[in-house]
Amino acid sequence: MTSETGSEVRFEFDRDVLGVDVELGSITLTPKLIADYCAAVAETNPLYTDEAEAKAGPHGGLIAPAGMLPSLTFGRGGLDPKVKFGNTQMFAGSRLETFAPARPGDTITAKVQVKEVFPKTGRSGTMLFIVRRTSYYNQDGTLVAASEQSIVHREV
Amino acid sequence: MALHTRYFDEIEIGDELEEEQTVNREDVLRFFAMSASAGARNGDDRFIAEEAGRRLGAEGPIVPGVMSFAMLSRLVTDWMGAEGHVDALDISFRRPIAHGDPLKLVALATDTDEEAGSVKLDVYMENQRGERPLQGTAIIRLPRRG
Amino acid sequence: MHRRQPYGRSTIADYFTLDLHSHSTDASDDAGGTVEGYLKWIVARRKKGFQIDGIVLTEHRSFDPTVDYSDIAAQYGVTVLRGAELETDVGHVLVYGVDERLAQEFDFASVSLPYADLFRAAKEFGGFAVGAHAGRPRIGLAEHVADRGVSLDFVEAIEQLNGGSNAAENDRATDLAEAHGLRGVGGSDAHFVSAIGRCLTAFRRPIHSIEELVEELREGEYHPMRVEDTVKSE
Repeated sequence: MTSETGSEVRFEFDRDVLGVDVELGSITLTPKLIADYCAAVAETNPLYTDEAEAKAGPHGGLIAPAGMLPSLTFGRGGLDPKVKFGNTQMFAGSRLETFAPARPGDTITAKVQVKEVFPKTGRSGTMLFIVRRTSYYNQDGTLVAASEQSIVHREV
Repeated sequence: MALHTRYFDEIEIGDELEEEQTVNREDVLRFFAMSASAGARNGDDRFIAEEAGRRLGAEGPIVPGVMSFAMLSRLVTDWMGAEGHVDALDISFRRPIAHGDPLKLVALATDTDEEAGSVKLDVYMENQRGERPLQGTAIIRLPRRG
Repeated sequence: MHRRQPYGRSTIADYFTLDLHSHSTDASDDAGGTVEGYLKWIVARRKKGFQIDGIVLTEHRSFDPTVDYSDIAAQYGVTVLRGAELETDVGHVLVYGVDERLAQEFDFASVSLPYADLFRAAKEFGGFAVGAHAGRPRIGLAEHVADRGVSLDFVEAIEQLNGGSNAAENDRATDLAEAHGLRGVGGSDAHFVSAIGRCLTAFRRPIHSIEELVEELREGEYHPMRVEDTVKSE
């Protein structure tokens, strides 16, 4: 456990977890799963929903929408930084990067790490942010996407 | 919707796409059922229980951030066309979204990077009170004509 | 629901419009808009017929006297001035004409500066302070006046129209201004490019320096205005 002070804030967390990837598991992207995702978020783009039209498009076939992978893993998991700060936590922000298309039939493996832990003093008082980065690889080991979720801990 | 291509050369600052959406309890349940079927962690009842929603300051149950983020990613892919590529989508969650709130989803081109062939967008959601529960930016790479 | 539209349409050609409240990536870590991004956006908006003559950057709890945007301002043909948004015990306060003496007397990083002292000192040291987003809960003046009866002795102006406040909050600020005879300004509170200039303050003469801004805020005629109302009528 290390104690840190930043902007006069005292907080404790387990520094050893930073940057350590943990495998969350693997998901196979079936056509049904992609269709269910599209239905759940009102996605009507033929690239993701229409096999025939998608085949005539630039990817030569149906692909999974960019927002699908982070919707499956929710940015949880990985090592526990054992943060001792505040009595409530909320989802503060999310970042998505895409690198290569994911297709039906692909098996996607997710790995997550605690990327950083930092304090901020703002209008609502002092807060502690925990950023987790989840990387999604396909069966060839290609990085298809990465997602960062930021959780804010505060004293309410 | 038909496949269309948006080209870098045609982009003007201010190019906008606006969509409307309202998310109901059934939609949230469907979203959780989908991710549960993928073997991910099942949704927690924070988003369904009326009481939990009120505790979070909204009028009733709320829409999970992961779901509202997915909605904005849909807006961005709608904006970018079939050959666009999402380099980054960065969103901050400012306020909870209640089930049934009529939402405007907006993407606006604010800048272009000639060298990278990419466009920067402001991306946000606005509710009926003019508040923006979600706000952020996207960097999209687009093909060039010819 | 919007109860009334006190801002109205003006013969906009006679006015000089400034966005008095904005934040940029240069100093506000919750902002996504760059200064250059703001200016490019304004140029694009002007092409659509809107009138945004200039902006004032009012970064959160900080003021760096060495920063100078004159080159980029000249490049884009937009007035760019600098103030600060500080935090007090009655909410946030916009300060224009930030003097070194003010920085010495008050710790800008504080989230609870004594408001009356700040308003008084800002004026004493050649500047002018304005109660930001006056109708917002906790961080706006109206609630503190209503709930705790705080004195408005040193307060001359409030931000009556704020681009990040909802309609009810802006109405509440208008009520406060009318009830206490306070001057009202408008500002976007932009943190992202597409929000800049959405709310403005219309002045009766061109303003190209912070000294001119302070002079107009103290002695001039001005009122808040929505950017939609600046479209040049035929």
